[in-house]
Amino acid sequence: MYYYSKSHNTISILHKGRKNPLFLDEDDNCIIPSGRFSTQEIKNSFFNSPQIVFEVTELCNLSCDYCCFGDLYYTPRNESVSTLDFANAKGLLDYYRENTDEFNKSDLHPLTISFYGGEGLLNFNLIKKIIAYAESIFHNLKYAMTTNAVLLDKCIDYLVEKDFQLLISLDGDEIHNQYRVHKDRKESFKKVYQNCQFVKENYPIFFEKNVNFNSVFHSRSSIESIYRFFDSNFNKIPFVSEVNENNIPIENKDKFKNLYSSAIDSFKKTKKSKFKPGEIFKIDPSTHGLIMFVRYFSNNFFNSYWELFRDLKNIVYVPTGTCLPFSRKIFLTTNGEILPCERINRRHPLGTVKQGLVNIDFESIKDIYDNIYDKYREQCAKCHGGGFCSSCIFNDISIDDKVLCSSFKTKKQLENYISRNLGILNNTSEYYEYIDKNTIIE
Amino acid sequence: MKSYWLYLETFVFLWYREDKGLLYNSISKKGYTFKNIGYVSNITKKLNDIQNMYAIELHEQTLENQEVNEFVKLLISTRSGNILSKDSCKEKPIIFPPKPIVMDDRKIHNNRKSVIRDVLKNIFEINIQLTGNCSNSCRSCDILYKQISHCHRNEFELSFDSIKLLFKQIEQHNNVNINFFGGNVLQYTNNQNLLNLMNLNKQHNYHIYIHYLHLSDGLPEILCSFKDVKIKVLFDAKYIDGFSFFCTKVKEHFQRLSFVFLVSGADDYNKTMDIIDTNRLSNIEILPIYKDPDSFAFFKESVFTNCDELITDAYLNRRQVMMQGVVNSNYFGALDILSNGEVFTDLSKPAVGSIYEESLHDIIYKELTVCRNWFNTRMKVSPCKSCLYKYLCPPPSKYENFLDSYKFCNNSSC
Repeated sequence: MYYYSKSHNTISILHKGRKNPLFLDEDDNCIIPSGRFSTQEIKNSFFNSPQIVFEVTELCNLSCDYCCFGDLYYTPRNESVSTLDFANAKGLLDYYRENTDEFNKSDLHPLTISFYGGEGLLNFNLIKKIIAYAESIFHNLKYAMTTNAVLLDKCIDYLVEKDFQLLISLDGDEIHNQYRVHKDRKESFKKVYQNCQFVKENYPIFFEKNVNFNSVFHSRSSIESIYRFFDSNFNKIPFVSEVNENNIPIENKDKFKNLYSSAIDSFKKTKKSKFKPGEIFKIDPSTHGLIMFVRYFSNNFFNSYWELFRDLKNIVYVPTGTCLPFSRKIFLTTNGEILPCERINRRHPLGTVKQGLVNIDFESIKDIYDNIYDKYREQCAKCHGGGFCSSCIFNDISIDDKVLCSSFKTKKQLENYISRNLGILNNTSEYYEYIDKNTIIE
Repeated sequence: MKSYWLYLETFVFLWYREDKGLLYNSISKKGYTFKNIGYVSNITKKLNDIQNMYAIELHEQTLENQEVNEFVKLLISTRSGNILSKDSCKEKPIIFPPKPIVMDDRKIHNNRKSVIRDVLKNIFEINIQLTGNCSNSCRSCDILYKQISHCHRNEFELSFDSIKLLFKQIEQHNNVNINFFGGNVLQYTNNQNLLNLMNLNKQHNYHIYIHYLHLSDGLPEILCSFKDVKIKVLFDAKYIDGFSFFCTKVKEHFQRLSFVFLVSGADDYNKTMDIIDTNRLSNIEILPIYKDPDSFAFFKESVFTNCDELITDAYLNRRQVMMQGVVNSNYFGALDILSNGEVFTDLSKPAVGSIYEESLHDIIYKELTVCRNWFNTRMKVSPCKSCLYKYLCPPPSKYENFLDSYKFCNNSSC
């Protein structure tokens, strides 16, 4: 019924099996991404980065079964290397601050300082120390952290005072939360639930504006139950993510299968009448994927005003969907490594901070990226997913000089991808209206 | 009773106003008017409802209506849409209607403007008045520079340090068009330093605008030496009789020059055309200017838009039509910096900042989030905002903003 014109990046209707004659002169070749980030771009990105994330500790007071730093995955934590040295946090803040004028970073743009762990609140004193120092050298700051909320009651006054954005990890009611356990395997739900209710009752405005939940979907979950729990107890809709299927040793595959369940399948089985009008879109796990689809294939999305002036034909794509390093954040680990994100593997640190001194070479970072991109060249030349690739070079599997791109698409896979998403829009056309009116992509 | 799906192609725009409709196909670049009455007006209303995603159900009975039938034939014959029988296509077609979603715009209107990034990428052009020094006393000095790129006189000179800082702030960007003006640019006290600075920043495109009267002694050595700068000579057609003499002065540098002829009447225009033909000039622009009420009739005719030509000669692609609804492309991305340091995004409006007091980043940010002169589209001015052709019409020009009048077209229905 549809055909996709690559030259125009347009999905159009086949009428009586034929294309619109305006599309007869077509070039069906793959888009070959030949672009590369320049050293200057990377440097500019670093000093204009909107966020610095500090891994304040690797320690955690829970031992969740699906934790990506737990036994299920290749990269368990060594908790003897446990906490961030304040001198290194200070060093990074100083280095960033000293160069912002040159790179035009204005105080009009707030810098967000986020805290990560393990469980960040286990190193609460360090958090306060970092914030106190940051406030002495910056004028426009925001704060954020992810927490399991076990210690939330002890820290909440300060977090409210500093207007923190909180993302609380909670999978749902007591049954759904049973993979989130203490080290002695005892459940954590009661304490966390109690703490959340405490914040909600004592700081209602803060709770409404600053608190969100992240729920990991697993084999004991159902979308309907998650929705009902968070809606009735907290008047919130959580972010839902599945158990990570990457980076699992072969010997743990069975354990993973027991934990994993598809949130999308669960949603499909749920009657839509179970959700409040206007909220289906927020709870549907396929929403994010649909937004990405619409973003590329509608030709209606523009990140910035200047992109309105940019002809698609003149865009030179960089291989994969990997972000320009530091364009989203700068991440400092407990052992002083600088990375572009906390969600990637740590094989390629892009710089270090040791004894308070920053060591970063932007030319070398460019080389790291170029070398990795070169490994994708052969696959990219045959891939039909060019232009909207979502692959991250730090999460794809690399074997010797070859890499297995997780987003590679044959022509057939591209057709299936388009069909699947058009099918979602067909079943729920109000989704497009919701995307049109509400979506903000940072 | 049989049913059909009626759909529009994603590259087609549909507008209507009362009983008149306009269809624009952005691939064939042609527009078509139609009668938006009766059943047709119900259909166009439904097609424009974003929830329907450019496809609606039509019953056989509706198709038998003459106006509907003509409308559908128009869609099919212009390759702008079609009908599908529901027998052969049970699922409703999904088409993306051409409606732009600009994230920066959304952030600004949802009070999240602090997360706008790459602010400086919104700069395409910087017009810098180096000095207001000038020994001439042109009658229209104070009004021409608000209409076109033109010099004007004042008592200030822009500090070279501020220009150096400006270049530093845009050094990571390429292909910014940077234009220099006076007063008399040749009287700027730091011309040599400026040329050296341009030499070190070859990633941009440079023009120097010089009034013909300032070249009475020919092209000075300082400009001859820097070949990467293009020189535009401003010629008020009132002085066109002196052109031949001027040519003898600059003969050997002719290839580097382009000429901007300013005409305010039919007589000026005819003389200018004679000069162009006689001298076989190729790098030329002829710009109408408004000087006084006597020249208004000629001026209006020169900038007049013929709406019938819009639907045959618009040459706008899908992206460009969408852009017309969001930004004014005559202004967007351009800054005017006067020799007193004031920065304008529309010379007919108040300054948005000063280059002596604020960074370029902060000035642009302020323009995007507060001043919004770059967003003065046809949708925002009267009478154009109720015009059927507003998305195809060129955006409000400097002329219109200067005169504060936007009715420069033959559309009598507005």
